[in-house]
Amino acid sequence: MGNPNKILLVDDDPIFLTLAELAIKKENETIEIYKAMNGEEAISFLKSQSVDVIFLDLNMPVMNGWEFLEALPEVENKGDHIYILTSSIDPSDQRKADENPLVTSMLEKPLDKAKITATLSS
Amino acid sequence: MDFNQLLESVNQNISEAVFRSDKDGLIYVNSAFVKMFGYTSEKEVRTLAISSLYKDPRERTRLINKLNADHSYENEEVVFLRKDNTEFVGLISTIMHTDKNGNVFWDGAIRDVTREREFLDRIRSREQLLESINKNINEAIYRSENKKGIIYVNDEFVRMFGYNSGQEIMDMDPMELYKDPNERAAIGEEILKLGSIENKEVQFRRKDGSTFWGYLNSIMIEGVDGKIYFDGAVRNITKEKEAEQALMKYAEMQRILINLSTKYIDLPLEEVEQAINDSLKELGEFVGADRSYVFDFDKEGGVCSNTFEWCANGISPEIHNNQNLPLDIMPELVNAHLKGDPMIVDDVRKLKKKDFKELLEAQSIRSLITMPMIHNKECVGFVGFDWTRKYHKAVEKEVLLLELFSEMLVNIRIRSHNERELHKLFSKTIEQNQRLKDFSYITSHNFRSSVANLVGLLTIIEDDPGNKEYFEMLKSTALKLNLAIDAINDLLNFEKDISMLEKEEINLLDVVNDVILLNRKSATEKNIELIVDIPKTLTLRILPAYLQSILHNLITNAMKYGVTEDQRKIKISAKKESKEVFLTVADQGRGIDLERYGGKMFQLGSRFHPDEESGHGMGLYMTKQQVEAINGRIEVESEINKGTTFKVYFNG
Repeated sequence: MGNPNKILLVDDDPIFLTLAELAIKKENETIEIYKAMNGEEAISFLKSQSVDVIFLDLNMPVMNGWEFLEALPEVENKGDHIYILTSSIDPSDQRKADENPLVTSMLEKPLDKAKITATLSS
Repeated sequence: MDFNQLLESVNQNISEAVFRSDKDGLIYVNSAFVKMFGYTSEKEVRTLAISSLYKDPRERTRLINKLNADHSYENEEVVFLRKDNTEFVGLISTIMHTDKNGNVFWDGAIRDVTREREFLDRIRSREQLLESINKNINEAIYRSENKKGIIYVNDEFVRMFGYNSGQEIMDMDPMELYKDPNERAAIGEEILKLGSIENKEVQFRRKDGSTFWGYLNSIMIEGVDGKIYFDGAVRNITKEKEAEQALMKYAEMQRILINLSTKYIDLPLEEVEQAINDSLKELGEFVGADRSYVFDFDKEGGVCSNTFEWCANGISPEIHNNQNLPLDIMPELVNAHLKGDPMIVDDVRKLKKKDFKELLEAQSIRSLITMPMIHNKECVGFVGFDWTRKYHKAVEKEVLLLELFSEMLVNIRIRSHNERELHKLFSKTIEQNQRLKDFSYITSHNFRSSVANLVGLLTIIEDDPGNKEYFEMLKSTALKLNLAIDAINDLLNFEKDISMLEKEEINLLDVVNDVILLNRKSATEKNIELIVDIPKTLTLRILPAYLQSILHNLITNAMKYGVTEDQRKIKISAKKESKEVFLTVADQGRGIDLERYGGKMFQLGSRFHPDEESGHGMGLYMTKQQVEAINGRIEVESEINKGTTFKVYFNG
């Protein structure tokens, strides 16, 4: 894929959202960044528009990352690439991520320059 | 023909002594006479006084009198004397004659029957022996004639078959003597074919219809009269059969014993119940009991209960009647068992203790054997047999069987108890392990996300050191990290061994007021009204730390998530309901969609409120764990925009 234009960040931690936005903008200022505090907000956002990349946290209130992935097929505008971005060290999360066809890969927080470059240029 | 010569020849050649005498004495004797009486010549004999030939001269007088009366006699038995004074028995016959001159003379003959006598005596003696044998032998002897039937039986035969006389047997159809009447014909053919049979086991029938096992020996012989006879003997082998059956029974017992002692060794615990029932049946049938059973003592409760029972066909179970029986209802039995002794009642009628007797008779028990189950020198119950249809004298092997059975039951119980304990420990460990793992994932997650934020923040602060907003973020992240560390402390407390903690009698209202006091500052800040409705006297026995933690979590949760702009009331109430203490913490906040989130309510790491005060997803999980650890339960009710109520039930 070419350089993505739109990225959706899904995480309930407002500090993380701020940091991630700053870090991505630093790499590519033209990218449009959208934020959702949980899976439910992300689903309703995707009902109105599509994005190229989704960074998805797992542990969130209301609708967590896995529930979001379950609800996603009902939405037309799916992200082209979904990266799970988490601080979980639970091996079962890694296994579930590997098995889920919607997930491109699972990344560990923090979202640093190297990870941003890798995901945006892939 | 010279008649006199013929006569003389006969007289001299026959073996009988021939004589003629008249009133003066012997006038003629033949040579056999001389020889018979041991003299040397006829002349010598003729000079004898006749009376000297008799051992007892009165015999002669008797015979003369007989002749005078009857003119003859025949075969009179007389003891004669020889010349050498030895005796012999002879048969004498004499005829009296009178000649034309009127003179009387006598002609006679004597036969020496000594040898015949001896022969007869021998025969008599044999008959006597036979008779004696027949009378005294304990075998039934018979002779039957081919195609005719029995022609002779001895006394034992009559006795053995229960008839009144031998004649009765000889008059009947011998088929009747066999349990299976057809067997007689088959046996007859066998003897005809083989000439004899030996120790054939046959079931015979007595006159009264009862049967017995006997050995039949028979031989086919041709009698002196040329007829075919079957001579035979029957020996009653009931005793041998009994011994044989006893031996078989003994072998069966060996089998049961081995079975009992090996069966339970490796038996999976889930098969134990079936195995006990099988053993009860096997043992019960073996000893011919009407019922076999297991009773367990509950010494704390002072009762015992029938836990397993087998009943013979047609015997009604008593197990339902024998639940939670007070131990003092049958002190004789219980006391014997507490001492480790068996209880043996051969005949309930002979029991001296009236109460015990009546108790057994009420259950139609006529005889019983019970054996204690001893564990660590303590009686934990008993096993036993009942007889209700007959009186039964206990024998050693029955007691032995019960003893072994009781030992096996005790062993299996120890094993199953140990296995259960092990299993409990095992699942507790697994559970604890899983909980620790979950905790470590969630805390690590919490740490890592805060640390990731710290790293990120530090990077951007480097670029923009004067940005105050970033410092605020740094501060809140550091505080969050601090909270995560607090959660670890909670975890360490929580995982303390609950059994090490002491329960205390606690006044619920006091604890609730303490928790409210701790949170008063934040309640005042948020303008929250805490309403308490708990009876002053309500107390419960509980681990104080747990109660405090549970209340703290529920109240602070309600303060965080259970209030809205307009609704700021939280109500804490409690009351005693039968044996339980029922506590509720109710708010009037936004409520939770239980249909959607109910299943996750108490899960580790679950969070429901997307605001900054969001926790770590541990509070309700820990609360539930704590409530359950003290055998309580927790439920939640909620309605969107109406509020949420947590209900906790404590064992009072």
